[in-house]
Amino acid sequence: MDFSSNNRTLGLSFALALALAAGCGNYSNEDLEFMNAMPARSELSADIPARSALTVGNEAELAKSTHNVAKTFNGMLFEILGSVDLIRSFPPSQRGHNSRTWGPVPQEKRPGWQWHFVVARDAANPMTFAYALQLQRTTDPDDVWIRFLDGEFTSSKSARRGVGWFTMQTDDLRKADYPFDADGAKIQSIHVEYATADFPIMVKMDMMTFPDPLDLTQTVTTTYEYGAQSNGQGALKFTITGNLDPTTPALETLTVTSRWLPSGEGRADARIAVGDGVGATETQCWNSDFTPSFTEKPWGQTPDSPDVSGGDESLCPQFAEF
Amino acid sequence: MRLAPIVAIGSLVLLAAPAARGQGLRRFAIVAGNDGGGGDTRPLLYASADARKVYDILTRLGGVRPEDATLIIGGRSSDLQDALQRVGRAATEAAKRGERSTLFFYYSGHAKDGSLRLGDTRIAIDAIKKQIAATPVDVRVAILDSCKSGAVTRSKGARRAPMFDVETDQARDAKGLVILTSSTSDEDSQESDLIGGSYFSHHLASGLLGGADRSGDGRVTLFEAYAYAYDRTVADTAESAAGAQHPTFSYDLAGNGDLVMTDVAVRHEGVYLPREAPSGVYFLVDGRGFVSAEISKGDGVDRRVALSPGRYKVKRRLPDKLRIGEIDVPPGRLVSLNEGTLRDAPFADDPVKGAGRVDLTARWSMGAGATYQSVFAAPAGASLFPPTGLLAIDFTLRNFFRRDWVFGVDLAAGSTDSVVESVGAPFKFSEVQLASSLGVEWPGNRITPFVGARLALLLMNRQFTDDLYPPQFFSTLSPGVVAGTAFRLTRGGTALVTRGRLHYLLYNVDEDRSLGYWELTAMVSFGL
Repeated sequence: MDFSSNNRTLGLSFALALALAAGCGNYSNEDLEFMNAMPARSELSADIPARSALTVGNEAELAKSTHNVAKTFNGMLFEILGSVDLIRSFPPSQRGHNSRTWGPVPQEKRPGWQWHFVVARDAANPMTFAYALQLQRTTDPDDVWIRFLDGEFTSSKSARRGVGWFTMQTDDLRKADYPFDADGAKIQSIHVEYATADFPIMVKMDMMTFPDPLDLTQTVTTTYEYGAQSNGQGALKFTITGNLDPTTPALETLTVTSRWLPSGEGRADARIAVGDGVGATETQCWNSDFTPSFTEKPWGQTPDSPDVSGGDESLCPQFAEF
Repeated sequence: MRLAPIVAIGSLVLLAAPAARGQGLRRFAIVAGNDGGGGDTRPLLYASADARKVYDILTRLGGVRPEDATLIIGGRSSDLQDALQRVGRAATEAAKRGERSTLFFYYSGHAKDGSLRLGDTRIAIDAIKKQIAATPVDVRVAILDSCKSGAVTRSKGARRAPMFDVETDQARDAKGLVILTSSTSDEDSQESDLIGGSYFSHHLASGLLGGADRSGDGRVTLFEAYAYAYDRTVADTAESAAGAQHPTFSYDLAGNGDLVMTDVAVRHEGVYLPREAPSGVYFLVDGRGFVSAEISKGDGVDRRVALSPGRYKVKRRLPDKLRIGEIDVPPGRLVSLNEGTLRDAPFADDPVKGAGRVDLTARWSMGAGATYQSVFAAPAGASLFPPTGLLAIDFTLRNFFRRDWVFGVDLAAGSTDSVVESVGAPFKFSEVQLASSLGVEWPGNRITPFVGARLALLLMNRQFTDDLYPPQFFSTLSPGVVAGTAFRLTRGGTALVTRGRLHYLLYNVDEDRSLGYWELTAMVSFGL
């Protein structure tokens, strides 16, 4: 048997194999840690028992308000964090010892603009990450980026839990003539702080909006404070400050504090703290099917507030303090 | 067909210098063997072994002192030249003291295109011949066991010997060059797995051990050895596929005498075949099943076979059966073989195992089984690449690149569930391996151990239960080593194979990290 030609074949095979020796892929535990610096929508959203279609017509008006506020609160989080979730669904473009970068990626709907997302780990405290979503014109220098969203997160011993904040602000982009869509044009800033390491989970959102995008001198400030206990009990405090009664120039501040049990039973206390109607209050409790069980509304029935006072306050659910 | 000795020395006379009675005679030996001959030749199997055998005989029985013997295994052409220069210097010094000297030069290996091939180096046959001829000794005996080595005896300065006739008269001192080659200038020199060596060297060695002592004086002369090797080599190769192989002999000597190559009586050690022992070819087989000596004994003659101490099996082949037995050779004892101690045996009990019983044809086998893989540096490594069970299929090719070399291609796939502890992310890990390996095995009757090197292409992937994270993959080539044992289950080639692997894994996504992993495999292998 002539082995020599076989040996040449063997040599070529190994040479070819060595040429392919470089490893490649996106297989990384550290990527996951960087990705975890950004909160997921589901982690911060208000978890309130859902109403069924059958009870909508009889729903207590403050229960309805609570659902609507929670929907708005969740909707804003979804808008902001939805883009983060999308970014997270891709592997990073660049890896550094203490950083990960996604992008730059051109914006399909806004030709001439591109974004990148940078997450940096604090070398002194590896549990703390800072991140920023920034934009630039595609013609801008590589190191010139415009702030849009930035934040920080310190993870706890358990995964995906910790303390953090993020802020979305549009001033710098507005100065650069960034082409906002209609909804985006109404937002001046959103600042979210959260603590998810232990129960109760706390999320606070401060949002400044422009009622009229063409008039940047008038703003409305809305604050949401959400808390959740491990047993499913929740609370949402909603404060809005602005010219809520446009018939007068005075600014009003309305506060609604809602709490609920996992069964759906709940209670809300509304109060006008500042401005027209200051001191007015409304308290309402509801059953597990969200129908009112107690209503106290001293100012009486209005077209926007059809429920009338009545019921037994002792039937209102009891809540543990957060 | 038995060929009578055909080479006669006529008036050739050589140095009268038997080892036992050589006064003032210095014997040098340079013995070289190299299985490799460069990229355009196939490796030989037994060249090195033949060289060792000749070296042992010359130093044990040939009157060559160990300090005057040089054994070069797997060396380069420059090693030969250096050794010749050393012998030249030593011989010059010996001559100053009035000593006469002889050089035995033995080479077993490749020769091609007019050159001896020692691995990747080469030296022209004419050049080495000139250097041997120029070595300042009185008699030079060159023995070349290589393909087409007969070319050297056609070269200038040498003549083919006439019809063979051993001259044993007292001689006058001779000077010159004698060359023995294993084949003619257009023949291949053949190796035999049955005898575990080249035909020529095997029979030359058997002759030097005593088989060639036709005169019965206990000394084997150069001509006796050559005649014996010639006769047996031609007979053994006459029916081979490559055709009969004819050793050659040439000389360029002046003087008279007979050159004693070995003195098989001086040590009084080995096996004695008495006159009354039946004629025939006696095989003396060592403990590994290789033939140590193959002695052709005629009626009414005795033979001393100067084997080293040890236990040997004896075989004599008859037309319808074997006669086999065992004999112990204690140190310093010449043990007579008693025919009565031999017994009849079927051919299936042939004690000659050698390599001839090994199937040297290239053949495929397939195996299927299970592998368990675990990455070192757990838990960090395990969190990255979790311990995984894989189903494996192997295809192996034996004796293709070289005898007992095993080339393999294997495919394995498996999956497991795990969690990235640092972020609490559960995932399903999947892995596919495609690998090739090259190893060597040592086939035994029941158990065949093997070792080798392996290069695996690893394709690893994980899907996270949480949709937040994208799927991740990693592919790389991973070199490693493998060792294991195959336990033969049936004669048809079915075996249970157990093996372990150690692999290096360069992980370079986050940063360059040298990881490793081990694998244990059990599988059943089938011959294809």
